[in-house]
Amino acid sequence: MSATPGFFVMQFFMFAFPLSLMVAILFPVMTHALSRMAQAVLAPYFPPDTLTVVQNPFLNRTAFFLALPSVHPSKLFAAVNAVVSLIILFMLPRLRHAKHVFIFLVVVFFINIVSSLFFTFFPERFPYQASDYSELYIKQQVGIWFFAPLIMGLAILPLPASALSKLATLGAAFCYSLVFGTIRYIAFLFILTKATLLCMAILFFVFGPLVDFIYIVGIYSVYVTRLAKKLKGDFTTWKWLY
Amino acid sequence: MVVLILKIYLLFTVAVMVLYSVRHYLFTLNRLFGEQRMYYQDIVDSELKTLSVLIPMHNEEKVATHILDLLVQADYPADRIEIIPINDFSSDKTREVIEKYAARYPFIKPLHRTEGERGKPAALNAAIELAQGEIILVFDADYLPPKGILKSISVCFNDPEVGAVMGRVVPVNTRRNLLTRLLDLERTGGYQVDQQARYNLQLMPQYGGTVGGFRKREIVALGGFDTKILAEDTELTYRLSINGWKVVYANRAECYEEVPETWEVRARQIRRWSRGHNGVMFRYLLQLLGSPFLSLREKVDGTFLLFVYVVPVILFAGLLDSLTLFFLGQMELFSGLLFLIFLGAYNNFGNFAPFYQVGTACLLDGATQRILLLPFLIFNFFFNLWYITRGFFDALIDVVTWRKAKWQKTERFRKAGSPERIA
Amino acid sequence: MAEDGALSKSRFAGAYRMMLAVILLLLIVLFVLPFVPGIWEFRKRQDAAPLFVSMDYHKYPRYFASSFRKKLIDSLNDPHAAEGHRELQLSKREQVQIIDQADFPPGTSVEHILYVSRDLASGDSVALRKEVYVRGSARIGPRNRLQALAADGDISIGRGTRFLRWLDAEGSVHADEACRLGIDAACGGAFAIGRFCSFMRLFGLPVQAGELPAGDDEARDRAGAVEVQVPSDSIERNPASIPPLSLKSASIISAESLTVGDYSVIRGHIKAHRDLVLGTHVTVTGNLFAEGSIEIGADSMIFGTIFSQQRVVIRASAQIGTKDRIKSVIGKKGVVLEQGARVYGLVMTEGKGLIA
Repeated sequence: MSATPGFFVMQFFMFAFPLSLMVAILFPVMTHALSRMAQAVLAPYFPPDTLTVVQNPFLNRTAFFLALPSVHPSKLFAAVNAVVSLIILFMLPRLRHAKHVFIFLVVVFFINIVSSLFFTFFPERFPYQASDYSELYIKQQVGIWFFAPLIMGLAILPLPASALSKLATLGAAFCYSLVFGTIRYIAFLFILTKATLLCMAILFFVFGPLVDFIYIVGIYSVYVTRLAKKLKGDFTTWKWLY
Repeated sequence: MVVLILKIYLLFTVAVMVLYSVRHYLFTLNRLFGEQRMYYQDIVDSELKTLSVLIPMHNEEKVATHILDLLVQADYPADRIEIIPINDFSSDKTREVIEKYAARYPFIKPLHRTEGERGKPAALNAAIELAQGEIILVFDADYLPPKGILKSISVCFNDPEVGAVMGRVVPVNTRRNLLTRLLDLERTGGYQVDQQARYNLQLMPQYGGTVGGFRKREIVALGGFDTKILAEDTELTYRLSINGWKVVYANRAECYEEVPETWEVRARQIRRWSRGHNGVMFRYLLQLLGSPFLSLREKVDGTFLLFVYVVPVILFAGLLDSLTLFFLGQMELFSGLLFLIFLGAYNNFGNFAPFYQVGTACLLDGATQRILLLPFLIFNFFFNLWYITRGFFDALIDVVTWRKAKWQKTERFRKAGSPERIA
Repeated sequence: MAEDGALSKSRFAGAYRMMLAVILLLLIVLFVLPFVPGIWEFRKRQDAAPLFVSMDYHKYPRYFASSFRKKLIDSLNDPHAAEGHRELQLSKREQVQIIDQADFPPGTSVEHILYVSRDLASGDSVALRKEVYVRGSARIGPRNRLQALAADGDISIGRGTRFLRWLDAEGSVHADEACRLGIDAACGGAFAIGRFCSFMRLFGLPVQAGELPAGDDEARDRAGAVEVQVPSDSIERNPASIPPLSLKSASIISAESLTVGDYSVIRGHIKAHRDLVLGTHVTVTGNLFAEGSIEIGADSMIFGTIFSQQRVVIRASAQIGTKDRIKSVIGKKGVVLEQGARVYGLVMTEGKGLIA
């Protein structure tokens, strides 16, 4: 069970790298499947033939995404949103007992204000329709699917644990990423098209890749905790005394 | 043109996040696989160096008795040690507490400061003038030094190249709340992996201003502590290093400390650290790069270390940059890379360790369940980003306007009476 | 696909609403799930205690034996206890045999802790599989196998004997050839060790490779009444070379390897970032540190500590420390003491120590 640099490198190229490679090769298939699933789930909520799976070039290949109609917020709605957000922003410092949450909320409401002001004063200049967001999301998700196994692999593969447990953990993280990415895609598209395009920036930045890191770290922490319990007191695992 | 600059900056931000992640990752790999460099704690020597133990105290009546009780029991000959509690403009009963100990123990020699410059660096300078020991050790007043720590820390000065030493700081008030538990994780990663790896790789471990020491002669020769700098510990690290001295790290010289228990206090602390550290960066970057005493890799890592409190500013600007690009409709090419910016999400900056470093450190410590708290470090992300950025701008204004920083002590939480119940 | 407006009329409307509700719920669950184990730990506080730091711990070279003696005596409650078997609580429940005088014939095997009120002797190939505490002196035969031994008197160890953990004598220790001295071997007096013995830690005043020279402590100490000058504070960096017969009053720091020529006298410390080699008859008043290996030439006299991140070799008849200056020789990867090499104090390695 002892880890050595050689084992680590070997495991990295046997376990983590193939997953990323698979994404690099198969992302057209993956994005197509994702788009079709989103289409199937969201179809009942849209007029017929308004949801179509389309494709665009990406990294010399093709990425599929769901094209769907947008709902622009009215200027009034955007303006009210901006004012309310501004008021909340000024009131947030009163949150004395949750300073760490307060900063996060400041970021969220700041982005919301920018977005609202954009839709209030320059609605015609907003660069994205729902379909554009859909495409951006897919490309972002491909990036996440590509990097997540590498980062998880780099984090757990050097540890002194069995190859099987590492492989299982990598697999679990990858599956979580696939499922989460799919669910989030469907949910966010629904929110954007049925609620408002105004929250696109928040969805993209605050609930985007940052959240992916949370589950990567979450799965890592569960794995390392189990490993720590197993290794506790086993000094032979470590080659040195301090 | 503007869009091009924004895009280049975003790529730059990603590159910085990746570089720092790689640096921390190499430290983690070093602890797992690499050659572990011995510290000096096993040296047995009948000719012990004379020590002066300095304890800066400003209104420390709640905690002063704890540290003094422990130090008088230290495993070090009484004729080779002096303890100098520095009563620095206290308005509470600190003076009375110290005088009680001085009356009982001849090697406790208090210094009461009621005039002159305030603050830790000034207090240390005043005490150093009086100190008789060859080696100066410094403990903050809320620390709880074990019996053997004075020997563990001071033994490294048998090495003629060692200028300063840093021990390991261990939070004692971990049970209080979520914040103290998260800070415990940060400290664990920072010391058990980061500092030790820098020691193993002969880079630049940092003297942290407490649970550490330095040679009296050298600090006097270098002019004492600079009272204009808030981070006198970082400043000492660089001043010694660029003048040919080494700073070493003693992983087994462990000492309990109190970490902030409220987010307000933590915010002030981290902003002060950022301001102080960035002040050192502005002052020492060129000197570091030009030092004839440092190897290339010491200079490279020293530069990384100098910029640790600039990284959040870069990231903050990078996030604003990506937001701008988003609203300009220019996120096409970068959406796939955005993930990498958030490598910094789990504390790649400040002196804080990323999640894989903390996890490895906990493993080495034999810790178990606390590792499950790692996801909560996300709460620190925006918090640290904000206050470190503010500290950076504080430092920038200090440099541009020659403003002098006012020393601020971290608030204590321990109640008078028994020290925090341990384990 | 049903029309958007006709959704409510579709017989699958309920199912579709349910599916989307499930999706939204799942999204929230997947957001929150990574925090759940942490929330559980935060509430249960199973691992909330601070990292254990022993407030009373301080290092000293004879820790193992000192700790064992105290535990055993405290448990016995009567240092002059009558002979017999007792069960005592030490680190766990242990069988302890109390005997007045022990003389084990060849081939004997003892499976419990021994407390010997006077002296102990053992024949060939005796196995003492638990700790032994001898209030007198111990004479261990050849090819014995011991877990650990503490003696209030002297210890002599026959050829080829092996210690698994530690040995300690208040008096002196003499070990014949080819012994394995466990993790820790210490004594309050002189420690003479035969050829091909291996060790990890030794402590003695002095530790002598080979037989001790005749005479008392004063006579053995080569430093004699030499007045040792305090190492100089000045530093000389990266000297090109230190030729034979050099005299330097400075500490020397070299970024590369360094060789000090024969018969040189250095009144200071030496630090090399690679290997450090001292010729024969070199005198150094300070400490020697190296990131690489250190070799001390024959008949050299070092008044300070030697510390290497690699190996240390002390050639014949070199002396480290004096009876009044207890020092250390530490080589992370190995220490070799040639015949006649003498160290006043600690000799330690994390690798393999050997008497050549």
